[in-house]
Amino acid sequence: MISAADVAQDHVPSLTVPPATNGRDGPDVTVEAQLMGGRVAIHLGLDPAAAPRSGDVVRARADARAILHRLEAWTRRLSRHRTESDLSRLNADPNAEVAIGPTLTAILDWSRAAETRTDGLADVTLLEARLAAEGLVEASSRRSSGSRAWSLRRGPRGASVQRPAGLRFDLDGVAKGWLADRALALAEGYPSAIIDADGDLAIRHASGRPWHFAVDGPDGGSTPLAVLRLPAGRYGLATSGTSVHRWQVAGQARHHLIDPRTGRSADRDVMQATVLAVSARQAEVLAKAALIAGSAAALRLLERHDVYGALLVTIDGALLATPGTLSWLA
Amino acid sequence: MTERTRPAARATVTPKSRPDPGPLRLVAGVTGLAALSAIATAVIGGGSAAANGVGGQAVAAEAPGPSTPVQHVTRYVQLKPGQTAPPQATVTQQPAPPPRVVVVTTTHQSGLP
Repeated sequence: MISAADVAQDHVPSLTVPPATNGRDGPDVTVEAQLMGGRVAIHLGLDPAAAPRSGDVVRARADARAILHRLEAWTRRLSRHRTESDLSRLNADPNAEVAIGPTLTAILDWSRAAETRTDGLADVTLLEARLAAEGLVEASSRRSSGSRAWSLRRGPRGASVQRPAGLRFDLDGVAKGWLADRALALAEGYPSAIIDADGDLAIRHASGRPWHFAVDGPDGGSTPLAVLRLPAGRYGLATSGTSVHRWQVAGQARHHLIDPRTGRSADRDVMQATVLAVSARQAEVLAKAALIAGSAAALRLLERHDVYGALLVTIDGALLATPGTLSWLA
Repeated sequence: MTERTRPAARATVTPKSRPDPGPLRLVAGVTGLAALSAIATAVIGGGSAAANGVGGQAVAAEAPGPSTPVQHVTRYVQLKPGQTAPPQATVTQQPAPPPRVVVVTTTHQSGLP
């Protein structure tokens, strides 16, 4: 949970051009905090045709803080790591049908769509397999039925989830991008805004100079894998990988991205996938699906969805890209 | 072994009338020194142009003779701020520096520090 002190620590990273010299190379105001298990930042850009005034900057900073608070509230409802969250209450409920709130309803709606778009690879019913990969529970031989195993019902008194006993949800693979898009909608009053949900980005960029975004390599080193040059527009940019969240269980390498076809950590040839798409939620689920699918199937999937661009790093170090990617490289 | 016989007319010239080779050797030596000096002047002149910051890509000097002044022809120069080009020099532009790229933020695997 973020504290008031976290939020009060407004931070303008060295990578951001300060307003006095901002030739529209970047946003004017940045507020960030620790959230979602990582760093979350709200960047707001003022009118690109006018020099920022101090009053505008103060107001933008207050709005960025408010957006950060909303993100924190949504995260509190959706995290499986908080026992009091709506998601944890759903997972712990022994009943077959459980009433849920609007935020959880909305993201489960998106989860079902994401599963369809990724041919079943983005599956939010894999919590047991995820915990087994972490060595916390015994691995189950049961294979996922995906969204066929559960349903949403909407009624006059709210929505509810129906699912077989024991089926638990894990939104880790779909939540960050979805939350970033939702938070971006809160910044509609600003010409430009970026919601950085620990590396998954929702971007709305007004006309002016193109903005540049770096893609970290699998080692997270100081030299980026690539730099993307984005002109005015609306984008989602997300990266998934297996080289950071990685551990050993009984002498075997495991990671957090579960292949629903095997119920185990995905073991295809992609180590990291970055996708540039029309929204952060699409970029996030397609990046994860690409990693789980393996490079050959991933490139077919990404081209079918007509993403703006995608970069795949394979386990032998090769860098693959969809054809459209080249036009976005700086 | 071949033996040469001097012409009859020269047979009357006594050995004392033959020119002394010493002065000729001196003249040849002085001429050589002048040529070396001219070459050295050309080299030093070109070097000083570079030392003055006029970094010519090609600096040519005409072959000097013992009695002709050394002429430097500067064909291409790149100027630093405040420098002026030599007469008749062609000024070339340095390659433009790569455009400044300001990275707004980074996409990365979640959980990176």
